[in-house]
Amino acid sequence: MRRGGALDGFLGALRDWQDTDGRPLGERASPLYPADTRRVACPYSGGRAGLPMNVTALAQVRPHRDHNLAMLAAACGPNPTVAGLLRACSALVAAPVVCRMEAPGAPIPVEVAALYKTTIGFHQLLVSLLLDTEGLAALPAAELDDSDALLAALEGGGWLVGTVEVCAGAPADFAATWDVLTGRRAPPAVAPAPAPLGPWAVEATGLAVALVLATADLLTAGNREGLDGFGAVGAPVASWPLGARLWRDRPTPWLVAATARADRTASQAAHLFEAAPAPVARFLAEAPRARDHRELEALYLSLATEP
Amino acid sequence: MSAAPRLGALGALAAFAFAPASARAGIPEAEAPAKVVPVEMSFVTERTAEGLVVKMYAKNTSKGVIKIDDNPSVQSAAVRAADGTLTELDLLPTMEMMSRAGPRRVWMPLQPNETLFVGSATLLPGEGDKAIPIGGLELSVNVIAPDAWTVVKKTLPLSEPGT
Repeated sequence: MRRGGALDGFLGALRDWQDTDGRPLGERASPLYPADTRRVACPYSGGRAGLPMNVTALAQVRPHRDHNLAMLAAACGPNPTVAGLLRACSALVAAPVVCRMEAPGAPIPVEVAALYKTTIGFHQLLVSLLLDTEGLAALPAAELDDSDALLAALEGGGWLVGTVEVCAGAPADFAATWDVLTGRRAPPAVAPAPAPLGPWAVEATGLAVALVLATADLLTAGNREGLDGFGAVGAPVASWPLGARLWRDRPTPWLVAATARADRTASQAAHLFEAAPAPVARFLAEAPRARDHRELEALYLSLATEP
Repeated sequence: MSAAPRLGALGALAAFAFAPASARAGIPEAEAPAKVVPVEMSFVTERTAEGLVVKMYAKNTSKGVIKIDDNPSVQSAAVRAADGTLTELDLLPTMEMMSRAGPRRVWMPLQPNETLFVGSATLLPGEGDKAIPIGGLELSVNVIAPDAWTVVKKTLPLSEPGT
């Protein structure tokens, strides 16, 4: 993996990329978060109520709502499986990366930033859901629970409360997006723009999740070699092997979700797919033989390809 | 293929059901019975220019591998001065509350009898060590495991600044 390359962007660097409004894609997760961002007490009911909420980002995303729904529907295609939803969301989360590849150093168009911010939460959610449910990948998305169940699950699981801000999305918007993803609602009659899709992204998602969970497996087995200070929060070390850095050094939202439960193992990364792509399958076959975290990193790097 | 729990699996994601109310952004305490996490917590205090730093260490007292959430959060802290005066210390409550909410968890595995540095907290930030009286630091710390949580209370001696 090249430092500063497209894969590096997908694995987290993109949070600090600015859009044409000057906002970082990662919003509060980036040190470039604008100081003049307007935050209000969250007006929605439930666990978010009264907590700080970023309304500047919401105002940026809202005008693109119909376009984003059309893009999601187009990326999913007709009658997707749950794995198909992850494939589509991964591709849309990677859209800023594709923009950056086409125009290195250029700000990300606001409409692409809005698409990213709309999709990243669903990408996170799907990673978590698929990891825990063997066989779910092949299920038609239309058979997933409806948006009422989604809203209840988001609320019950604390999914809408972030580290320092709550999610600014309105429940009605979550429901509309979910209904489009699951085919319960037709997308708005808006022609989706030519999508700057990253079809490689779902494989990159699976491989990174497998690496981080394999790192956790090794730690659970008592192997801390090369991970001095790993127990200290907020102090990632540049010399740590990649799996530990992806886990602890400003992890992506979907890696946060992948590591949020204590009982997951690397083998569950296969659940993200109907049939694991060859690099993911090979990583999962060979990772149990890795003697330490450096060997895991080397295995990952031999399989991860720059888009 | 196993029966798909679908969105039920998503609801089970967070460890909130077992975390104290202060760690769960408003979820009622009554929902979460306390269980004992098999760890022995120890603390080291340091007076610094930024305030009073408490370093936290966890020792696994069970015979198997356990996991705890990293950086156990300080629920409350107060200094009891030599004359008995009790001073509650500033804990940056908003940041603390928010940092323990949401699905972000880093589960640190602990081998049997292993002691691990699990995090630190700065109390009285910005006050400097001169503002911290001599006496006893009364700490209350939340320790969260995947299926249990506990509150550890300790009193630590505080010496003079610069000693």
